[in-house]
Amino acid sequence: MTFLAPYMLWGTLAAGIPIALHFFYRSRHRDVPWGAMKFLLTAIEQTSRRLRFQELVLLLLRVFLVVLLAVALARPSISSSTRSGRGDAVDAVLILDTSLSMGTRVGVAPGTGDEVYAASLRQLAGEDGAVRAFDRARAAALAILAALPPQSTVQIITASDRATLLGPRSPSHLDEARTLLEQAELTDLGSDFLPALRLAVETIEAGSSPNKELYLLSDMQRTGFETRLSSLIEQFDGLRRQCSLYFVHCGADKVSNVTLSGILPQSAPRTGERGDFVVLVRNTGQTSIRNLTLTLEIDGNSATRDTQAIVEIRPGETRAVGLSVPIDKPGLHVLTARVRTDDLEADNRFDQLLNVTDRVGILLVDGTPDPRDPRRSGSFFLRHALDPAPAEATLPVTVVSPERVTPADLGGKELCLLVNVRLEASGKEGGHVSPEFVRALGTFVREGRSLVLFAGDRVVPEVYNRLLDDQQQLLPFRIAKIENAPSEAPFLIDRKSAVGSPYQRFADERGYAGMDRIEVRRLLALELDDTVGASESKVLLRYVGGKPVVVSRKRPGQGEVMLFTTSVSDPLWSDWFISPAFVPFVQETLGYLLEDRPRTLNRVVGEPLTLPVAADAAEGAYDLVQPDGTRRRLGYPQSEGGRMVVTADGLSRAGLYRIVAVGAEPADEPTFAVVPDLRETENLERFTPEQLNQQLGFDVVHLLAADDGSVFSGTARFRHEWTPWLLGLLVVVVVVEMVFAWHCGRSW
Amino acid sequence: MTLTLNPEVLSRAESLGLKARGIVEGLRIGEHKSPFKGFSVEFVQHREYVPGDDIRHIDWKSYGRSERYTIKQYEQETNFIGHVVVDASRSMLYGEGQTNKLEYAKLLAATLSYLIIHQRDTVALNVFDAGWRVRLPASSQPGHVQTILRTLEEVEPRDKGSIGPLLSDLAQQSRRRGLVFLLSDCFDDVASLLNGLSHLRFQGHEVTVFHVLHPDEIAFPFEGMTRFIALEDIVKVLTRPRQIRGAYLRALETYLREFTAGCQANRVDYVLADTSRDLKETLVGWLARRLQMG
Repeated sequence: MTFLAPYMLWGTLAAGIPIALHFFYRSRHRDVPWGAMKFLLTAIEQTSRRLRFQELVLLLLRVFLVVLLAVALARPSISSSTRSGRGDAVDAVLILDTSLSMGTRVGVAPGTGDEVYAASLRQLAGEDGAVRAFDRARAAALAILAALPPQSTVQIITASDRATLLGPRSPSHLDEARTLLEQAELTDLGSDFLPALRLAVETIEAGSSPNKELYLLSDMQRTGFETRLSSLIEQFDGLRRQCSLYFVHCGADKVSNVTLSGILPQSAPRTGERGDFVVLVRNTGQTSIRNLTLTLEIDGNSATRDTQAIVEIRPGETRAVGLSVPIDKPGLHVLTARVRTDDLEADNRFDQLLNVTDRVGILLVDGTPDPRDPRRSGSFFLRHALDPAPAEATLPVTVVSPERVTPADLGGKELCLLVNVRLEASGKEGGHVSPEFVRALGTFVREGRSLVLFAGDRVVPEVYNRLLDDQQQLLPFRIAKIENAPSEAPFLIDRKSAVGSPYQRFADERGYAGMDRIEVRRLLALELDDTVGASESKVLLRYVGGKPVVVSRKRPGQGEVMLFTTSVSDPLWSDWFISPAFVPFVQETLGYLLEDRPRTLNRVVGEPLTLPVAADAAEGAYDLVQPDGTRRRLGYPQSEGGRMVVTADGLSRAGLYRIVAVGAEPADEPTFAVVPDLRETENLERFTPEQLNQQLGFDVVHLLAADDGSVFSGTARFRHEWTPWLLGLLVVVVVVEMVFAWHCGRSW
Repeated sequence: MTLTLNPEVLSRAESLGLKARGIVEGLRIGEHKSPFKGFSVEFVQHREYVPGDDIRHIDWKSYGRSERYTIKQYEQETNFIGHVVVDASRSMLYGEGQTNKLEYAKLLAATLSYLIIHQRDTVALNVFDAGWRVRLPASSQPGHVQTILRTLEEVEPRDKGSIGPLLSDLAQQSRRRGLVFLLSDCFDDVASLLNGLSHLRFQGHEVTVFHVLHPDEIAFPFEGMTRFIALEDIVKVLTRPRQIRGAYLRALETYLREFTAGCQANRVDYVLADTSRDLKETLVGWLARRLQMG
């Protein structure tokens, strides 16, 4: 029950007036000297109890009368969805679902019908008359606005996996709200109603009208509710005590949809060759799709487009379709896969940035070189593992000693390997790298290239921590000490711990079972500190017992740093380098660090885009060039982690983005490829009204926004006021009071 | 306040006269019958001659018829003593002006006294509240009226009334049968009051009660929140008179019924003296009724 004029409830305080009058009139009497007191006392003795009762009843009647009048004037009312009618002004909050799934085509615009909903649907539909769930939601919202009583207010909140208060700036400005609805845009983000509901609670509480209504206009996709169901229920439960809840269902019963979820290179792409790729296609709809056409093109070149047809793909089925495109030059390329003929357009395109390098340069710094007997060099086994077929000379590996290596050696290199390298002088022993080289390593990684560190006797934990962690922030974890295993119980590699890492194949494939027998007798013990960002530093492979074998640190926009905690050349440390699994392991590392780079440039919509810029280029402001070519000012680079970066966030659409200096022309190569949040299309099932009621644990009013305009008939608002009944009761009480007062022979 | 007798009342009352209906004992020959049977002109009865009787009173005609000596007795007419008993308790203070109960009772007492003395009977004035306040001895001197008037003028109520015992006291002190006029609101215990009256009657007095009541006490016409302050004690009652009027009137009616029934049983003449009525009406009405009843 709510009150339409709650301030009138202050009138209940007037209940004190009859009580005050009662005592006032008692004190206001006249004195009569009286002789016949005997009869008076007898009369009072006979009547006092009855009189007191009458007095109490009369007083209560009068108090009740005043309270009843105040309550009646406060206009108590109840909401009911079973009747129709109109109440007074309403504070309405519309939550408009703008998630990716709302782009699903759900029908066609109605040809006839003059209602606001049908007319809006015709206006919002595409040129072919196709109507998306989003169009239905907006048309329903416009119909709701039209049905609001005078003096109503409205606030529109867009909801995806984040919430935005769209407006209008003045809540009573309904025309602005209509414009906002017409101009509202879909996003490629996922669904999560919780942020929107929290925002709605604040908005509802800010409203002044006693009539509050919340409309959720959505396709009611399961994922939007199930992600954080308990919190949602709590929010909805709180909201329904403050306002009337309306769920406007805008989705379709059955959706036909396939999702492009990835483009995987089958081999390292080379200039002048056709690159082979696998495009992952998944049917996430509820119907089988036949005669699907899948295309792959590079840099938007339709002439070299490759096409494959898929005869049929069943619901839930994933297909890996092989396609190839020619690569004519090195550098960044955009691979674009497209699929046609389904209901949801947003996930029918997938962009993948691909970095094509003709020859990958690798710098290998050998801390223990032996020019006389190269087999005794620390890099001997690693050098051969990197390039097991030197005749083909596919990998130009430059091996250099610490004394000779300079920052210039890092030029043109994609990967740097430090094998048992001393970083600074220790006593009379020589063979250490220069401080300039150490600093250059930091720049090397920040520029997006990778560094791999191998343990050995020349790795001094204190020096590595100081130079590589404190100064350059390169180490995945700080090194605690060099730890020796008991002679009878060496450390053994637990290959099963590689699950979920780039080395997963070693856990899965039985051919690598021999890894379990590799004995490690000495290792670098690490400080596995939880304070290090979990997303940045991780353990890729562990020994039995949990100590790390390989750890990695990857900062957004930077190269990756890997640390092998044992030696790849010293038998006192390990016999790993003579294991059959050593070469495949190094190759896997190489493939991961070099071939995986293009994928790291891809972002999921909603993630911030961060571009490191050189210090000399950090003076000016930067723009974000959006997929449609428009520019958005990002401002000046900011210092982050010792470097200057430009960050673009709040992106809601998938596509190719570039970050360029203000005034500069966009480069040919895109900076980022942003893909839709494909979690959204994984499951396009939606809740029915009954299922929603069951999930929430209470009933809300469900409205159906369908193509037939007559189905959606505006709001089912009805406020049943009790005021007339209370006023009737008031009259009755007044009559009763008058009769009773007359019967009792008293006015006050 | 100066008591002034109303000539019109007196004139009308004189014409009706106040005669004792019963037998009264007087010292002088007057208009009223005396219980002392003698040999006057008014024959009453025969009785057997006993030695010692005066043989002059032997009825020889009766002897001739019955051969028995009988004595002829005659009734002797005498004057009476009227005891005017005035209640001067504080409850008699109620009423404004002429409707004040005490003033009404005083005027009635003075008028009665004048009437009695005017027909050469004797009158005694007794004023009481908790006890006897004033007791003027009986006298038939014309100047006694003035004494009574002055005495009544000076009476001021001081205390609560107690009627019954005082009436008994009066009965014991007045051996000679006479007329007793009680002028009071009779707000006393009915049993005690009737006991006093019956005592008077037992002594052979002819008793008339002038029940002096104010019209407010009869009708209880008050409205609105009223605080009644008792005249005779410290009781104060805050009430809505309209709501208790019925109960009050029932209590009054019960009392009056009980009191009048007691008066009737004791052959006491009861006169309701409503102070709103003119004194002439009350007095003349009573005298006329008394005359009619013989």
